[in-house]
Amino acid sequence: MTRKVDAKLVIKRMKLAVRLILPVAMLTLSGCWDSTEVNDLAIITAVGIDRTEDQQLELTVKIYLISPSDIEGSNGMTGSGDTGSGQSVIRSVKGTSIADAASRLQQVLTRKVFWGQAEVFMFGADMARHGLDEVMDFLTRQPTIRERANVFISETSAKEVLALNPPIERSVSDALREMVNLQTCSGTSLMKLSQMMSGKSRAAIVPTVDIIEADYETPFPYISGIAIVKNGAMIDQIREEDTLGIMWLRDIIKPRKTITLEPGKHQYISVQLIRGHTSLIPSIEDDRWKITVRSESLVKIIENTTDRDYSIPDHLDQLEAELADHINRNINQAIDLAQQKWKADIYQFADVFHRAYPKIWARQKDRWEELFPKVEVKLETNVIIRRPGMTGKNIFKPGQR
Amino acid sequence: MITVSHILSRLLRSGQRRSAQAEQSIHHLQVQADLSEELHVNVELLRNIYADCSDIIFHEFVIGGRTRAVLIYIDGLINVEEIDRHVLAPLQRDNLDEHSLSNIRRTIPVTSITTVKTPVDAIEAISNGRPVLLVEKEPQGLSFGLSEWEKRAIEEPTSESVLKGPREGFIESIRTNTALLRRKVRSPNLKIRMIRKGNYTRTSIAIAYIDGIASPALVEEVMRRLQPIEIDGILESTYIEELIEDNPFSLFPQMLATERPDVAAAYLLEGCVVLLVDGSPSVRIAPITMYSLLQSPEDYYERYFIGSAIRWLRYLFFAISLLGPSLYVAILTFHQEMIPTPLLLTMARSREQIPFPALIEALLMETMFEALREAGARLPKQIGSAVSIVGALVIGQAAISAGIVSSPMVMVVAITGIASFMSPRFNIGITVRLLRFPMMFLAGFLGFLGVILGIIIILNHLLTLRSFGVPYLSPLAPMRNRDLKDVLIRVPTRMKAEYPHAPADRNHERQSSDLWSDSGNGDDST
Repeated sequence: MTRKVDAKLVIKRMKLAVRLILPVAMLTLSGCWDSTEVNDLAIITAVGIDRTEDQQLELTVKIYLISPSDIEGSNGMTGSGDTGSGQSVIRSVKGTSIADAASRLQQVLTRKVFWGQAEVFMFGADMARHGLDEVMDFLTRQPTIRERANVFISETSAKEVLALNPPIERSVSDALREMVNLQTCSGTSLMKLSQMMSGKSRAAIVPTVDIIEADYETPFPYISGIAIVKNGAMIDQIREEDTLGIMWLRDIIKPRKTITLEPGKHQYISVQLIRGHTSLIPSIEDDRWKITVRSESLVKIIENTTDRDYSIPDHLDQLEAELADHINRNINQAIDLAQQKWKADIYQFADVFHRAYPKIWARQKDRWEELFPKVEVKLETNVIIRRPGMTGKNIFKPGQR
Repeated sequence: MITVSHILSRLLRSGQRRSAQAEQSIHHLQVQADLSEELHVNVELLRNIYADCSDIIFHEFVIGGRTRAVLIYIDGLINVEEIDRHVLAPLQRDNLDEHSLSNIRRTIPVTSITTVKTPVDAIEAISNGRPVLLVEKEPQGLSFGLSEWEKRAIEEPTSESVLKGPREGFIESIRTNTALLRRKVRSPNLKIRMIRKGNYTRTSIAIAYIDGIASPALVEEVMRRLQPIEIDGILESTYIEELIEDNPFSLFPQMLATERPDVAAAYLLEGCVVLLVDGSPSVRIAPITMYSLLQSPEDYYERYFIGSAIRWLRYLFFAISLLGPSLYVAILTFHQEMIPTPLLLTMARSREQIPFPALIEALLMETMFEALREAGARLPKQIGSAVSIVGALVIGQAAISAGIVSSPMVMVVAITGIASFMSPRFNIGITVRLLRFPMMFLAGFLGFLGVILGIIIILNHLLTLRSFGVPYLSPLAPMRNRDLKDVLIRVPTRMKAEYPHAPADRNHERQSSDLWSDSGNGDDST
């Protein structure tokens, strides 16, 4: 009798032991699987991709330098950042494809390559003209790469931009990210770019970056304009001054954008945007494809060197009309460029039509290439001056009272 | 014939194990079941029972110059002055014709006089500090309610101090404690049942509840669980708590401990049962939910906005105290992409010179913190502050500058430490502090996956846990909308009109409903 009880007790104890040992073993045998201490990482903050003359890809990464001892050993492979302010170093490797280059990157680094914090992806102009499709596949396939990272096309080589150490920000990636945030138009994220490139219109816009060298102690990058990407490759770029229409149509215009009119000779009136919004309204009537661009903007007057008095409602109405006219001109210009010059649907009209007329779209989508230049665009622009400012007319002007 | 050992075993209610021992030592004594008419027999019996008890006094005297009598008491448990004045003085100068017990009873001006019929009764009375009078030719005795012993004054409980609200706290004497409760709830519906447990300590346990609010089934259940307790001694209410709680192997407390009469009264008014144990200033309340452990009496003494805000702060820091270090370890070793770049760079720089992995670093500091806390709690106050200075300044600062731990880790540990002290009940705070360690291991081995696993295991446990039949996470799980108003926020008193735990067939109203609905009509002209 006692033996029977003992046997049961033993089984019970063994079960308990198994229950205790199993979780402990499961935990410890996995052994910090996948874990990496943060100080064993080479944290990439910016990535640049160029095409070399021998048709290879050159991958340049900007690595945030945690340990000061890394500066000494940085002259081995390629040039390093300025050691004086250097909190970051760059490394470049070449490869036949981006994946090839990326795997070689580990060979020149003592720490584990970590893509998760890369916030800037910079494509060289040569490479962009040749085609972004191969690179984009690599970048969007990796789960570790940030989809919210900003994408730029540099007018010089990407490596040159990455080698800069802008004096104000911690690194060039910080500088570019902040610039894009504060600029008058939104940047393009990796996810947005991949959506535009793979979407129905197969056209995209990407901010371009150039370097200012003259007149300053250290050269620094700035956002110079917009590059037009069609079918995976850059086809054109326009200067920042000419992007107003594109920004309206893409609805990426931001507050702080300033519009200056010249109603009289050397007489200027400047307004700043408080809020701007554009909606695209499609319609198809008897095979005539139409888009109504309805834009609303609230502005404030920030400068007035004319003789007008903006405490008088009539003058305000007049200015509103002039502003609307100005915006319309910009938008029309941008549409002409896209429809006639580039033949690239960078405003994503295709998506708008698809959403409103899915059945017609399904029938006609193969003809989009020839349809797009013929799409009629109607403008409905509405400008409201919300804040005329603290003074009406310019009270400092001689002759005014 | 019954031996003294039988009497003792009846007294002790012990099993055979104990009575066998007792039998050997005093089995030669033979007494009768009731008190004898012979005074010397009774005295001899009691003297034998109380052999080697130096604090027992047998005061022999003569009533009215004729009848011999003995007053038996424990020195230090009675008020000697009152005995002299109200018992001995009237008896010694007495001029009664007949010295019967009823006559003596009439002579003595004391409120509480009870008759003692058996030696067992006598011992019970003497042990509780009631002097027993035995008289010649009487097979009975008298015991007087003149007990008095040294006890602590009523002071503010140091472990549950509040800024606003009553400052009195329970003390070690159960009579004082029941009186404190009765002073809060004066209704005769406040019932205080008394039982004795503990074979040697004979500790009084009071079960307080409000008849008409507390469910009778709950009271019966508490009594049913208390009944079978067989234990040598009860020195603190935790002894009882462990013996009657639903899941004795849970890390989470299933009864609420408080030293504050106002907290006890508040729970009584919500239909809970309060257990008071003699000798312990800390009473136990059941049933409770997890949220009652995160509530402070001050929530109800402050305005309800403040009460609600602080309650949310407490919930937030409760989560931090459980998850703080494990989240930090998980992010630092597995999920570096999840934090903003500048923050990661700062963290990475701080960890550059650290020789240990983040998990070891966290364990080191957390263990150190627990050690400091324990050392500080056990030491006298003057040295305790020295320990905290050494701990905080020397160890924290020196460890950073020596490059053993990183400064963000010290910050995380410090914040977690503060967070765990924010829980108003010490016992839930220590539970969470303990759970932090397995959570850190899970985070160090499996990252966020491990943290989520840990949370699921803890939640599963909490969902199965019950306190006297009340689900531990109610009213959130299972959801009871009616009761939510005292969990997520502290509702204004005028809206708190129903009892949370009351059974369905009872009156739910806690206050006149007119108070709220009529207040806007303006028809009350008074």
